[in-house]
Amino acid sequence: MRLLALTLLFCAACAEQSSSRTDTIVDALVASDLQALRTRPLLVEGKYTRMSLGLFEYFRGSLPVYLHDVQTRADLFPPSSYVTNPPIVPGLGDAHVENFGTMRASDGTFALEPNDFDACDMWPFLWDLRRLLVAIVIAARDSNLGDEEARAAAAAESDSYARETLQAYITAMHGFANGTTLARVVEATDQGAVLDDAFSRSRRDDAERRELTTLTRIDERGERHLIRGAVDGEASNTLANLPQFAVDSLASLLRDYRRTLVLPFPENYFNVLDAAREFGSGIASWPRVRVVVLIDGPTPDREDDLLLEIKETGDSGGLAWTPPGPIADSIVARIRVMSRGIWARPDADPLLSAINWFGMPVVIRTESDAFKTLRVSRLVNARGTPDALRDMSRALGALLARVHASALVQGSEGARAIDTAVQTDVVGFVNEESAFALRYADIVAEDFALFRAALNARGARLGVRTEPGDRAHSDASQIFGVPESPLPVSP
Amino acid sequence: MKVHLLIFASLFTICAAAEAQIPPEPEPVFVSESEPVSVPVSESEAASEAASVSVSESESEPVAVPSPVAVPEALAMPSVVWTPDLEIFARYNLNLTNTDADTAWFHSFDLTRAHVGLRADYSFVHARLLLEGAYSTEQGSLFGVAGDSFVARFREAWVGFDLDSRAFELHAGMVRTLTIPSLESASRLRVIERMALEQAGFASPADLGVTATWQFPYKFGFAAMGMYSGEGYMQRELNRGKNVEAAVEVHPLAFSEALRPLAILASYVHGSTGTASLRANRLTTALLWSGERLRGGAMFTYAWGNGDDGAIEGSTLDLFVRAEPVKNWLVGARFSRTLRNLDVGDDRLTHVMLTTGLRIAEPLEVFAALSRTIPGAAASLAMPGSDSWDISLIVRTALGGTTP
Repeated sequence: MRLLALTLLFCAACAEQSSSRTDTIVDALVASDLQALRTRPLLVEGKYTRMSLGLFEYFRGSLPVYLHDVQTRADLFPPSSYVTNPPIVPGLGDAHVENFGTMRASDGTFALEPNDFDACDMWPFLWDLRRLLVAIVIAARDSNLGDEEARAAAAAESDSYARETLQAYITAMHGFANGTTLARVVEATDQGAVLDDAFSRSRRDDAERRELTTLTRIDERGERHLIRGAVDGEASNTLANLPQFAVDSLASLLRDYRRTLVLPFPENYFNVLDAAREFGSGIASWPRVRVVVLIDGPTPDREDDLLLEIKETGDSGGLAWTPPGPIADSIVARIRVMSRGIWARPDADPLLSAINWFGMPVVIRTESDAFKTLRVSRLVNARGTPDALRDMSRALGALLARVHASALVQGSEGARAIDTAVQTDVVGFVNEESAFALRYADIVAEDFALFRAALNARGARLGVRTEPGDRAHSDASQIFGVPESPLPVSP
Repeated sequence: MKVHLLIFASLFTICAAAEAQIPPEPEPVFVSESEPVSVPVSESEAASEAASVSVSESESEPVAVPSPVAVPEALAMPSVVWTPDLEIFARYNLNLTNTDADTAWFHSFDLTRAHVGLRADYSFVHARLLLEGAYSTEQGSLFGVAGDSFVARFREAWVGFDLDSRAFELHAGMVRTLTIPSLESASRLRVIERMALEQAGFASPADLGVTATWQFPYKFGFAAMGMYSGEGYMQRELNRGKNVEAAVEVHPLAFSEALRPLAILASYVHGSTGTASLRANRLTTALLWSGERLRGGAMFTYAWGNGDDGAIEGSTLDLFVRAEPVKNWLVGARFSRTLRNLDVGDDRLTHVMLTTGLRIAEPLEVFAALSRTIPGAAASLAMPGSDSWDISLIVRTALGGTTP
């Protein structure tokens, strides 16, 4: 009896549980970031802080919460009346506005393409489509920074952006299901202000080689080096020294990487001139290792030096075990297969590939100011009007349809099945999915407030306790590094 | 404060054990614990048999020492009894999955169980290690040991002691939880698939913590309590809250040898999971029959909190039977229905399984199984690939244990 009494006392002392939405958000994020939280907590603090700075930033970093709702909360993520078992197709996994951007192919032409492959995998098309719809609605609500009137005007027509996206997706998918070629999205006259802006700036910065101006300096001996410190005056985005052993490893890494590219490049093209650790870029990938490498390029001339970005990647969080089964047997193989498969041409960025570096899967790609990601922060003035947002929505809807229709494993079966399902009642499907997008965007906005409150209440690690034994070993710690200027937590 | 309480409780129980009369040395007991059949009932039975054997051994000890000289104390001490066991399920599986696009198929060889166990008994002190094979990452992840290698990890690692000839047992470390092992002991269908309760993610068969078990006299069942981390045995502790599990299994007709297999199980888990201490309470009731040739039961679990969401409630119903109509011919069936979120009517999974098998030799069985999973519309969207058929061929071997 004494033991029983003691046990019950102990149990009572330990009982603690929650069923709040705040804690669900915290748990989903922490579960996704747990390894990084233990091994590089300061960097994850930076991610969470970055997420607290704006609604779209939160949305970008909260893919685990979205996936939680998709897989667990059918009340928030209801099934479609038109699709029973959504076909599993090549997808972005994290389809949102800022995961698209312009790229220069090997012939020098630019096209709008998906530019982030961290979550790229086989996905149920509806998960991907809905993610994009919500992203576009949130982008509109977060647009026109500093101009509340314009922002309100843009947000008021959110429903139309979702509908335009859906119509473009359905129309394009109908074409793909009936044999239309999967074409590139290149610069054209009727694309709207957002794409016009991206393409025109791509041309300008490509001609100026602007990245060499902002990220490098030529010393008195005429040798080019990467700068150290703040990039382009942004205190949160910095370049720092990379440990020497990591710099020394780059030559062999790039030798191996060269062999994985779709086009042949001469070996001395990748002579390493300098390398630096980059902090403060991205949101979901904020804690991940990024390195900028300065290479020789086509000739030893300093004017044609090139920059590469090495970015740590990881599991997609996707459904590798679902039919039609795994498409690759490693992370780097997945990224190679997916990027080349979903682009309209496999050399959309001829320098993009994936490889392991110190056992860490990394994506290596062109670092160029001419590659313009679509930024919500640029949805201002003429680019933040409802018309401009509708134009952008149409472009992204059609482009996502092209991604879903790309033939990696299933041929075009997915495209035909999607088309068959939605063509039964296009209006009904558009009504259903646009209503979902608005509703879920409201949930994201509420979640954002809860997340910020949780961050203030629990601290920048969301309450995760780290122990000394969690620290990564010396080499890894040196590569992870420590950001020079952590961001302030949003009030 | 909690640590102090735990230390105090441990000291208290150790002192109580020291006061108790030390039972005689147990005979090696071959109970396959890798199949979680060594529920308190069977352990109790084994222990009582062991105790009777040990007494006779102890009585014969003077015969083995002809000299009238007193036996050195070290030699008179009971020796450690080591009991190894090994259990393997090798499986071939053909999976057919329906989507709106087509029916995809995939087939694979798999090792659904690879258990190596070792139990040590020294008088009233007991310990057990159980290693299991597992892929080095969760499904969907490729960032593991050398890709996704099959590696060994601990499933159980506990020390414990008993009092009063095992009427009371306490285990601490990585221990078996109480509900799933009891249910699997009755179903013996783990070779084909896990209990619906475990498939739904409502419970884990092992966890880090402490269990205490009291056997009722005359084989009328047991009552047990456990306190765990709440994260299962595959993850480190994340939250401050601890899970408390209470279970009672009653064999109401134990006075009759023929009717003793009838059992009623009830358990309740009050707990949480994850950094945010998300609610994870479970109430399970079951009616079980654990006969020699016929086993089966019906169980129902109500879950407050599901996975990483403490707000939703779910339930699962599991009906199962395993029989041996003719010696060495085994048949089994299961029907389960899991409601993942009671607020959404069609967020459900219905599962049916049929199996037949042969016991080729005492430690070797082969099975063929056919199963069908039918998701509701909401579950179908949330769980791609759940609308499926599975056709399996399975070989099971269990060495070092007496469990068929």
